[in-house]
Amino acid sequence: MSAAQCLAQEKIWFDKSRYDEAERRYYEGMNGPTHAPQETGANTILQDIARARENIQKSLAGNASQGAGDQSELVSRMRSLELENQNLHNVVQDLRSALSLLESRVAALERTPAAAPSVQVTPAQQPKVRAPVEEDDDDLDLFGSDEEEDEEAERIREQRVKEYAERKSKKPTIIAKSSILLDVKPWDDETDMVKLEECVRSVQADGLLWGSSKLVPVGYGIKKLQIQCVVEDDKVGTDMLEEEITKFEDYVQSVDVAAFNKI
Amino acid sequence: MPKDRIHINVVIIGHVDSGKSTTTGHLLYKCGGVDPRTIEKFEKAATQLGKSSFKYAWVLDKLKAERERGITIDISLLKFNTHKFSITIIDAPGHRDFIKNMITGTSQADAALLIVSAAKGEFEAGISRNGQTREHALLAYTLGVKQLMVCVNKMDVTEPPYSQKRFEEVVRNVTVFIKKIGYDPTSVPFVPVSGWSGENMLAASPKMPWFKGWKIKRKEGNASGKTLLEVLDSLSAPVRTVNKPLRLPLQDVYKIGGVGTVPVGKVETGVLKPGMLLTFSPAKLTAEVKSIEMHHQGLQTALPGHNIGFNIKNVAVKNLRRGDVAGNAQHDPPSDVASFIAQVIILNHPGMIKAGYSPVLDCHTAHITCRFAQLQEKIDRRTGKKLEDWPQALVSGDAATVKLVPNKPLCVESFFNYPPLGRFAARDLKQTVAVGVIKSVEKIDQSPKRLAQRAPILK
Repeated sequence: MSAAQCLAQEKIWFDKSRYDEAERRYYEGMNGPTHAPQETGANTILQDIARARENIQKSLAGNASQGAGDQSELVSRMRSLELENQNLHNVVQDLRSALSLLESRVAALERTPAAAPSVQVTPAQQPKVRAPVEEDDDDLDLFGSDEEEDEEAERIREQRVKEYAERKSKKPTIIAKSSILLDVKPWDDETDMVKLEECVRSVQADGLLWGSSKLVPVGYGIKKLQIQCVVEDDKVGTDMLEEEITKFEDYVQSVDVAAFNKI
Repeated sequence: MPKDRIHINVVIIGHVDSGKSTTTGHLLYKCGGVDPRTIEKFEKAATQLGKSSFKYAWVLDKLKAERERGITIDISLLKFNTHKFSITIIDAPGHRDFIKNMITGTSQADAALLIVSAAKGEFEAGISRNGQTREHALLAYTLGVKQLMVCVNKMDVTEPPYSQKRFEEVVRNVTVFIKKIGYDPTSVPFVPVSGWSGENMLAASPKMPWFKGWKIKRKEGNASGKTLLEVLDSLSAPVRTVNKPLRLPLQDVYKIGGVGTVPVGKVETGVLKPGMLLTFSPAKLTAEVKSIEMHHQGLQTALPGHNIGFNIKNVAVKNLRRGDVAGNAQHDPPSDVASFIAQVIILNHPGMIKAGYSPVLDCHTAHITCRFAQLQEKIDRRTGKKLEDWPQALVSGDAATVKLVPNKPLCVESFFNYPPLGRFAARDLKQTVAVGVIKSVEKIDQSPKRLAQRAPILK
């Protein structure tokens, strides 16, 4: 292989540094004008970083008090924040006192519902109180939102509220009660029905009152115990009654609700 | 007067303050629902106390007090007679367990009487969104109570008393309300009454001369009249299900010395006769009926509604249990189901119901955990129109078509074929979380051919 050939196939770029230099200059020349602001921007950032580093180091060293110019700036900012915070606190406190005032007022009004002025005031206040309640009840609403006109809805609500207040003052505590008739079935015709009834009546609960009972013939000598009870709706459920009665498994085969009525 | 009156159950729904107790009390009082001696006793006392002018109200109050003490069983079964019917009243309580009882209980309502108050403010509150009235009315409709009547009560306290304008206003509002539930208002009679003073209850009231009477259009024929009693008499008698195949869910099974095995239950459809070959499901047993008894009397034919005990051959007590269903072995025998498609309404569930949810289902006398295997469609509660395919979750108030899979053998039927075996309540967290009607069932030992049937509640 000749030297020329060698050189022709030369794969090493001997004067690369020169080209690089030229390229660098070229781009520097081209980007020169825009370069400057960027650099200053970068500089400020760098400076900031440096300052922050300094600060961190200082605070780490535990002599943060020797504040540089920037630190004083931060301190002043913090002060303004503190001031703002205090203002907010004041506002919250004002609101709180206002709310407690309202509360006491409402309580006072509720205490004297029959009084003439309260009837006038309550309609104005009740809607606020009732609104969330209505929302809560939405999950019970089987009809979705109804496309009632605002006017109509408002009218209805107004009337309702009036009625509500009236009713409240008239009969403050009516305990909803139901009358339940239970069929208690034994295992066979030889079950001691007297003992069975004793067991049933031994079930005690708040809001549960056992009433009269009788034995009803079923067939083939089997009798069932039909027993009456009165329950307070919020306190006693049929599940609980069934559960408690069927616990006497030596006597009781099953329990059915024969009648369930409002009182 | 016909001696054998047709028996019919009427559920009374209405707001606490609609005066429904007073109104039902009035009917009971005037139509022989209260022991005459009791009334006499109270009436005498009322006169002695100088309360004869308020006699009626006073007696009602006393009766209520008596019921509250639970002394007499007879007055807890609210029964009275009209010209045609012997009516048992179910005065719907607000009790949270009542809904389950309305679905699985022994007395199913044939008709519903909605009582609303015409008194100022009370009507608006009664029919409000959060009211139990809506829930009960919707349930009645969903559970196939097709006949509805409306009583506009407390006409004596409207402003001015017996106001025609107020009555019309209430009727207008209630019409919208019942239409939303799904009832056809032209088949619903509206009567203005006063349960307190008795206007238009048994006799047409001279105080409301403007009331020209109610009119209804029904498939079974049109009817009209003026009083509430006439409305009750206009009810169509419940469709007899004698001609259907036998279905008898067992309540209890007894072992009687010298007799043998005696299952007890209520005939829901069809007839039962001695000598019949029965199939029990899911027990998968066949046995011959030897004899039938009701109230210790031998019976040759047991009809729907009869609560009976019957003696069967060669079956041990332990092989049968509550929740099994008896049917004629030769005529569409009952079978347990692999799964069933039901339309459910979520009533009270604090969170989201997703596929896999497994509450306990109460259906006829059975009490079995079932899994919501697929949530197929979310639907509009009123129209039954599809809202969404394969919903991710259901919340309170939603209605949906769901595929349910029992985790133990269970025999249920489509609501269309055997209504009492096709409705259920789903219970969880000690409350009724959902109610449903079964659209179709996939039987285990038969080919699933019944998928085409849709429950009639979907209009």
